[in-house]
Amino acid sequence: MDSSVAMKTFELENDVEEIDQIYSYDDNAQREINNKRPWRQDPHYFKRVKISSVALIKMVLHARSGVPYEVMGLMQGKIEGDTMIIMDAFALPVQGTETRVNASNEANEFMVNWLNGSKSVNKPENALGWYHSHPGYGCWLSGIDVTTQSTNQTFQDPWVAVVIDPNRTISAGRVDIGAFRTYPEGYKPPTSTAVDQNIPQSKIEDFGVHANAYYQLEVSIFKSTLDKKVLDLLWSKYWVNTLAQSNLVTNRAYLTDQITDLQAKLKAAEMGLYGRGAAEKPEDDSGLAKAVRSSNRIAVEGQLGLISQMAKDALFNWKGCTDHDHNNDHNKISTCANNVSQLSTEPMQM
Amino acid sequence: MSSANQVQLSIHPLPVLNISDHCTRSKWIGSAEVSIGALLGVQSGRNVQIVNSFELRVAGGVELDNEYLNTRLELFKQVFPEFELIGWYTQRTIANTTQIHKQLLKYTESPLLLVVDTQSTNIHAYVSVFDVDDIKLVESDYSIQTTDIERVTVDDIHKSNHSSHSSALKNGLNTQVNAIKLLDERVDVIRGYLTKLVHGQTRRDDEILGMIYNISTQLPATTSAQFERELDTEANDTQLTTLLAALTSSTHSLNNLINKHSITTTSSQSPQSLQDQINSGIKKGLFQHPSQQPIKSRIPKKGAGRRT
Repeated sequence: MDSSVAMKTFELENDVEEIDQIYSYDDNAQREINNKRPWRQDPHYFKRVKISSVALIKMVLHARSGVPYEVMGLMQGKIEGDTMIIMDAFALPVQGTETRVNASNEANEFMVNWLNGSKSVNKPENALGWYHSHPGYGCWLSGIDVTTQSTNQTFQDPWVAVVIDPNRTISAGRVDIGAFRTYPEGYKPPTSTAVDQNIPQSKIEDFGVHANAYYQLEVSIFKSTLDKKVLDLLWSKYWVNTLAQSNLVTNRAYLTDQITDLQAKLKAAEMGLYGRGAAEKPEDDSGLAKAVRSSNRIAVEGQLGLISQMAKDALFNWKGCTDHDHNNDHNKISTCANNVSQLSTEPMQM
Repeated sequence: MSSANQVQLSIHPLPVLNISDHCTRSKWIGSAEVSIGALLGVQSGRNVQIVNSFELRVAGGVELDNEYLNTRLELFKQVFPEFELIGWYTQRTIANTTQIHKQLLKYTESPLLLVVDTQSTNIHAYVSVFDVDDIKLVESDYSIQTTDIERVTVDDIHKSNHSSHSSALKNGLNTQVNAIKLLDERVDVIRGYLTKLVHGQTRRDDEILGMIYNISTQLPATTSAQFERELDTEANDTQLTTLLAALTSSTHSLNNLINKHSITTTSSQSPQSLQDQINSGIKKGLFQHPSQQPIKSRIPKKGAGRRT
């Protein structure tokens, strides 16, 4: 009995070590990787990005604090095989308007000061990339972003670009984040690497021109065992807020924007229809297909908000408690749920 | 004591996660001393919010590195001008707690201390109370405060499965379901107490009964007709967006159909007008989109999806 408990504890502890191993730092190993530069041979070398819980929440909050402007900051991290591990992030005193953020000399000085300070408090990781926000128009790289990123990849590779959309994060209820690296100039990717990002009509041109100049890395989040415990503690205190909010109300302005954009997309698609001819685009690339994707997305987000609203109405405003009422509420909710699964899984083509 | 109770202290998730990161980090890199750091926040009257934090350097376990602290503060001010240094954190009350605490008086009038016990995962908050010629630390209540975006991010980290492949329905409702489960657990506790009381298995406590009565009278939360109307409007608006999606999707299907149709009828060289094609499609009874029941009978005209 005792031994089995001890065994279990041992196993648990070892598992823990494995999870938290990611927090260790080997200066020599990093230097060696930096000298070898395996990413010089393969333009598609880095495939994954792992982001620590603190780095993620810092970036998202910073992005949110800047709305409606774009903000930017830097990330510190290290390399492990084809994975870039982001340990921490910090904000830079730079603010821009749409797709126009760029670091200046002032920011450089800030950066150096910050990194020096970090190194003295057990944050030895070097700068590994930059992040910036695209409030409301999705995660992709604009023309200027591509230039910034490829300059950085030339002079201080390894370097990664992370883009966060704080507005879509709130409306979709999950963090909207993307990580990108540009291809060297002149490189033609074997297949189109354009990301499907539901780009607003006003930005589609900027997106389309540069869409094949970079590729997207797979993003995952990691947390320490202590983070896990702390998060449980937080959740046990703030769960009430989850029930107290209404997505439909918070997202009203954003929803209006989205519908205006959908209208623009449909208009563009309609113009496209008149030019119907032999040069047909592939089906899921046509303007209409894009409109379908964004309208489905709007509808799914709306339905989810509505479900939680109705669930709360049923929970807290239960009138009379008759079976009839209960069934009625139940039916309404399941209709919405059906809508969601239909809209989100519906195939785009016939 | 009474003055300590007046402080409304709220903690945001970022400093808590940051402190957790600091502890994990010092375990893996560098010495496993007690990690000490500064708390940043905003203060308005007695309302104090802790919104961020950063690591501190302490020489010999006592002396704060003021130069480092000042540089960091200055850098923070450049990006987040509204943040002030409002206190510090540690893992457990150490021998020189008061010594460190007093050094912070240079930066803020009344520093507060957060003890984040990493062993038992518990957070205790202390505020400064000034005696005749000394400072005392008095434990204070605090609340965890989250904004929408913090909630979304923390939930995402909590689940930590950032794959876009799981169903949207499941993703969207998970948090709600978990919250309702917790609510259910809480209600169960109350119900358990009442059942025991009815069966005479427990002592009657009028204060608790009073609180339970208070909660139960709050239900139903809103019965006003105005709320009903608002909720209905909201529901209808949302359903309209769904209809819009259905219409857009049918238009797309229709467009694909026309494309395929014009490929199969290459015999007619002159391109038909779109309207003609639709009309011929209707005559042949070609449109039956499988998934849109509500509008099956209504054939969308050209550009019908544009109605917003």
